[in-house]
Amino acid sequence: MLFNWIPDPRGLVPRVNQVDHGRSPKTNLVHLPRKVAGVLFFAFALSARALDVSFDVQPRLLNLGETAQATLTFHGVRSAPNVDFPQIPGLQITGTGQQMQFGTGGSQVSLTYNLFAQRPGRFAIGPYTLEYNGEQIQIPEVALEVRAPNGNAAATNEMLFARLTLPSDPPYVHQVFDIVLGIYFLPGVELTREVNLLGGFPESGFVIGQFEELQMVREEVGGQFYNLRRFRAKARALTAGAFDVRPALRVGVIDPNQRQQRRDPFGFFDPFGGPVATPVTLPVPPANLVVRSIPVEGRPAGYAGAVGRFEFAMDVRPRELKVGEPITVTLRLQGTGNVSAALPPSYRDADLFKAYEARQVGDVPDPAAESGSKTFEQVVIPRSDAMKELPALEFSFFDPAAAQYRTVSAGPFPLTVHPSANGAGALLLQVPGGTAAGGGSLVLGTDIVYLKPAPARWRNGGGLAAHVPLLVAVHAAAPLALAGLFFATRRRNRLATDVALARRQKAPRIARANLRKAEAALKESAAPAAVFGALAAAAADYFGHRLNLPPGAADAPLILEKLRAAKTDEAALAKWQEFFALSDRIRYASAAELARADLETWISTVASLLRKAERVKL
Amino acid sequence: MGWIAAFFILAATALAAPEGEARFERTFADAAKAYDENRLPDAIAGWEALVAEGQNQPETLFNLGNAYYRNGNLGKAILAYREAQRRAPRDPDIRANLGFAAQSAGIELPARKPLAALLLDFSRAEWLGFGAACFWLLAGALAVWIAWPRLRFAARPAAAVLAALLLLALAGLALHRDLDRTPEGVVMLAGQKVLSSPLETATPLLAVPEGALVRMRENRGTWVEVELGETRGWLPAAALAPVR
Repeated sequence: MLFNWIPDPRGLVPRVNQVDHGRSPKTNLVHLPRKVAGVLFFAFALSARALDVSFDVQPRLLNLGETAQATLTFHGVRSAPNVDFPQIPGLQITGTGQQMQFGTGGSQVSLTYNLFAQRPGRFAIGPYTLEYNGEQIQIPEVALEVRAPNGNAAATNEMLFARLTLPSDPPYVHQVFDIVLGIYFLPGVELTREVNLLGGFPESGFVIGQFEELQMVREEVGGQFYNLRRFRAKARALTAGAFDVRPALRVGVIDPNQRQQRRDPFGFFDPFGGPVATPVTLPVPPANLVVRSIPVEGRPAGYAGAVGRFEFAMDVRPRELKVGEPITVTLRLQGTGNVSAALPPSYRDADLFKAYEARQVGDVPDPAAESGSKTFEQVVIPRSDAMKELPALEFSFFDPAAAQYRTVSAGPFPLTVHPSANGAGALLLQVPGGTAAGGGSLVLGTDIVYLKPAPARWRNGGGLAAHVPLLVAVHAAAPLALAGLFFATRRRNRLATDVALARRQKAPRIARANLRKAEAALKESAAPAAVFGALAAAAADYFGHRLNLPPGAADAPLILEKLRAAKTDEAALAKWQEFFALSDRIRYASAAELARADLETWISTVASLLRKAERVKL
Repeated sequence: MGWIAAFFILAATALAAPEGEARFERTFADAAKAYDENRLPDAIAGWEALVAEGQNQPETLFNLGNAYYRNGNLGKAILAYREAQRRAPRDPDIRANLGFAAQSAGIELPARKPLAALLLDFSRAEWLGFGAACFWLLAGALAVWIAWPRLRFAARPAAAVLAALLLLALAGLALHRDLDRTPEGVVMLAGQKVLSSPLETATPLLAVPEGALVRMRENRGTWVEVELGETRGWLPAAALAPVR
């Protein structure tokens, strides 16, 4: 690509230092007027000890087009900030990188810059002052002398500059005009083929086409011959007004010394990838582009925004047909101007014919194209055999060269329309680009289908939307029910296969049943033997199931041992012992007589002890 | 007291519903009579009133479309037909009248991809009902699979088929939801042009007739980004009505 468009949101002012040093904070130089300060200050973050900074430029005597290298070295540090040099008119300073050296003699960091002069002369770099923690380090002035290629040191012509050429007369809205960017460079200076455009044109309100390079010419500027590379684009303004145009270009200038060193001796193979070029940013003097609005005076009624010079032609086929048969009208617009935005006139429905929307066929012109053509097709259907012609159509455009409106017309077109063979009710239609295969006709019904009867059900309330929360809740119940079913089934299966677990689950229920028996016995007879028999059964059955013991194995010593092992509190153990002892006495010796109240107390005591045992891990 | 109040509220609702239905029936019949007598503005007003009250069943919208078509409002007719078609996608009468109106307007109905066309051949309500049925049947199949291991040989394939059908229903609902978020729009004004940007001075890309169906992609103030075939551009929001 010869010419690249690179929108540069940072603006068009060339940035001298483009090196990103990553971890180091970036520091900008501030160039103070010499007669005021005489020095330049910049601040950066280095170690707190005294700084030793050196600055050198080599070589200091150059021919125009050659590159010098500047080195800013910070001694005794391990990192250095990024330093931007101020602009020096005619001299471009571009950061190229950072070099670090670590050794027994200490460490140092060097920032390197390419110096490229755009005109001959003597350039003073500095003096500068580095300011850090109140300490100021002086950098002496370094002079760079650049001589013209012919050795004329007094020549002051710039080696390289750019200009923008806009139309001498302010263009009208939608008028297509040329934008030409020119790069002027002295003979002997060699540029890379690629040129980048760094934005600078209005981002909205314009349509700008691709830039193309014109043939290189030679032009005299200020008594000096320059080679001129020109890049032209077609542009069109979408709105009227004044626009600032500030483009900038970036071009590579090939160093003559490096060019000689790397020249391929055979002319067709270069193992090092071609000559090295120094990128140079060329600001273009800003220009103000005024776009005029199209005059309102004298504007024809049918004017639709076309600006330029146009020709309008029509073709009508067939010229002899029956009522209801389609006529294809071809509308062709061609000329110079905003062809892409221009729309040709078309027919509208009339008493004698029905007209369908015109549709564009063929290629769509480029919005920025200066010239071209557009073709539309429109279907017109005669409603009556009284139709004798298709009326003329007029197309109006604004001619910017003459600054006036013009109107061109086509037609009228005589027609022979016969009555329809199958009556006027049938409608034949052919739509350009429609779905009818092979461009054939599509026969439609004679009329729309008649009304439908009233709905079977009328809506009450807000319809489905009003019931959404309820529906969501109902549907959410399904996964919950499934989850419940899953866990219940799993539990059932486990209980069916795990006897110990099943008995463990059963133990409290058995205990409660025996406690109820004890209460019933108390109600019936208040006989201690019956009550304590039920209570002893409650304890024995509970622990038998709980511990998965065979029937009769759950006796008092085993239960007490298990309770003790489970670290049951002493009071409960004592109560259990007391209960078992009393139970044995009552059941087997009939030695104790207990009042009803005592029996009630023992029922509740055993119930309490069993509840405690339920909470203990045995 | 609460139970008594609830009883009266339910009773009032039950009595009010038939009264409302009778009024809807009367309005519908009056509009149809006006249509037959070629009093098209009265017919339009009647069916529009029903739609405004939430009675936007396909029958009402279809008849409204007919009235608009006869009245010469092609854009509104196509809008009503298209809205009716969203609710009853396979109704041949709606399809016929929409096609007739579209070709009278000189437009083509937007082509859909085969799968989307198949899914949109069923209304949202149909997909909802079908999806709900699949959901409960799937829940039942899973319940059988969980609770009766002996029947798993039948429950497993049934659950797989029902899950696939449920996914199909969800895809249909997602497509309808997509149509709600970026609805189709009907161009309601004649002589509209799709512009390259939301500016009155922007380059016209395409002329769209009244009644053209576009896809409304994005709203930006008084402009709407639309898609018509392979063309994307901007139309004034005032010139469009979304198909709901």
